[in-house]
Amino acid sequence: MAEGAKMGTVTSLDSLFTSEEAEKAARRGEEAIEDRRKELCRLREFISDNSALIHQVQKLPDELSHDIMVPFGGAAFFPGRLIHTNEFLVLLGESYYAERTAKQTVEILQRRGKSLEGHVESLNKIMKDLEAEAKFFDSTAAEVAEGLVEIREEYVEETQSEEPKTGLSNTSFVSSSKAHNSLVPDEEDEDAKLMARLDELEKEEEEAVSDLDDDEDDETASSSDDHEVEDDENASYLKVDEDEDDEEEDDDDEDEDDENTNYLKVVEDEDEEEENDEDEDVNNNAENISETDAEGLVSKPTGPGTFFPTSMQHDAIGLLQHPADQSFVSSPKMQVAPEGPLKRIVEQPHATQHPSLPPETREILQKSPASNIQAFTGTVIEHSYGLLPPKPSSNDSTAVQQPSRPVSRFKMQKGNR
Amino acid sequence: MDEIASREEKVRKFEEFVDRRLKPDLVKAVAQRDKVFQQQKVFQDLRRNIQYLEKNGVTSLRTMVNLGSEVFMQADVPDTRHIFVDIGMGFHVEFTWSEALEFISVRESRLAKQIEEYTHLIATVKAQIKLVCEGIRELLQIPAE
Repeated sequence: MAEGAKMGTVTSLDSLFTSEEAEKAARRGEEAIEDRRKELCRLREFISDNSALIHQVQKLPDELSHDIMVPFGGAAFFPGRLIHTNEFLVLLGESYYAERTAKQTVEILQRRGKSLEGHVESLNKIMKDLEAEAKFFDSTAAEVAEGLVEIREEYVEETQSEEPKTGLSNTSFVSSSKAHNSLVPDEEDEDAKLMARLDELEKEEEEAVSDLDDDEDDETASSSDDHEVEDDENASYLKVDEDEDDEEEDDDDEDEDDENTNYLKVVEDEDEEEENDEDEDVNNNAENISETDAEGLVSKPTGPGTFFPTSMQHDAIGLLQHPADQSFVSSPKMQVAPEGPLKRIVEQPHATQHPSLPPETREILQKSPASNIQAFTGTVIEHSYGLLPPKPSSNDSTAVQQPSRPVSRFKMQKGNR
Repeated sequence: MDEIASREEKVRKFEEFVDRRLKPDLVKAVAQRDKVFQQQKVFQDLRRNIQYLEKNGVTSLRTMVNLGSEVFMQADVPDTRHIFVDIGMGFHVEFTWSEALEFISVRESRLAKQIEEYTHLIATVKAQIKLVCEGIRELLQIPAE
């Protein structure tokens, strides 16, 4: 290696996440999955009820009238007949009813079924994410239990002419970001570290895929005259031909030596490879992406591309705070990004890490169950309405319904959760 | 020092007992009593309705039947004098109005007795909780409120 002797430290994962915490996090993930699964069950029941009802509604108009037992309250029946077999009164919600024929009712019910299936779909997706998270927590717990060890190496700046070619180890890549996190040793931060690790592993996957997506970038990017000027400035930073990278290196060297991490080396490695292969493409790439990103950064923080992992989007938010460097894009896929802005990017995510966590995950991570102290966490609600003298109620309607307002059975069941 | 440690230990045990045994017991008892309340309400409503039918001499009625998911269809009851009442164990008995009313009043008194029992049980559990709390208070030597 060209750098010469490097300072390194070895930390065992135990010190960063205790096995207890990792297990707790895994358990929380599983609980969340259980909840979602129950919800899924209920929705499936609704869907099956709905389809049974559709079937019934289609069959009823076959006869003029049907002999049935008409319920009277919750505990009594009258023998009677179903009449007007083609007229259905459907509850649309909020005490609004619609009188429809059988065919129209079937249409209404089919639309309801579709929306229910949409819910099931989204629930499934959420569950998949949660399962992936839980698996990650599990594997982390296993690693901690095994006594996996983390190797942290400081990144030493190179001279102008050389661009360092270094092999990267996962742990050092991860450790760089951990260096930031260790500054604020909070419980919450430790959980955030887990998330940071997850995000970084995701980034690596993205990088692996990025080669394939490169060619597509040219087509997706848009260009406009207005941004030309900006672009020129941007492009000048982004063109691989020039040694802008190195100039940037020097400028920022004084400021943040420590922050330069192996993560940046990865990007530069890819820079070199891509340089050799597709110079022009990369240039166009850079310009186009810079345009879109400049637009994105100016208008919306979520602008930069759909292939960036979530944390990177929020890095863009952080970038908004540095308008001078607005043109720089936080993306390993860029492959030509110079060091300077990336340093900021590496800083930002950890400042914005918490807001970037999806609310559900945050909820899971920050919940602190008092499982060690088994305190009673429920509520005791006592109704005494039965013991008071019963109120007189109007007997006009012979169809007695329990709730004062007619509510769809689905809603009622939901409300009783 | 030993005394203090043992006292704290006792306090902790008492608190655990309250939280893990007594309070869940209370919740269960209240839930069961609520169920009986629901049933009582159903029979009260039925009684009221039958009385109304009797008073107005209603022999036939038009009603709406819920087919499921709040989809209703008209139904016609030609003769309301015979009503099938659920007497439990999956049986429904055909009653006339007066018979039905009689049955319902018998049923209601039985339910009221059950509610009484549950109320007693709840009161016992509450008293136990209070007792244990008093004990904790004594141990901690906090003046009684």
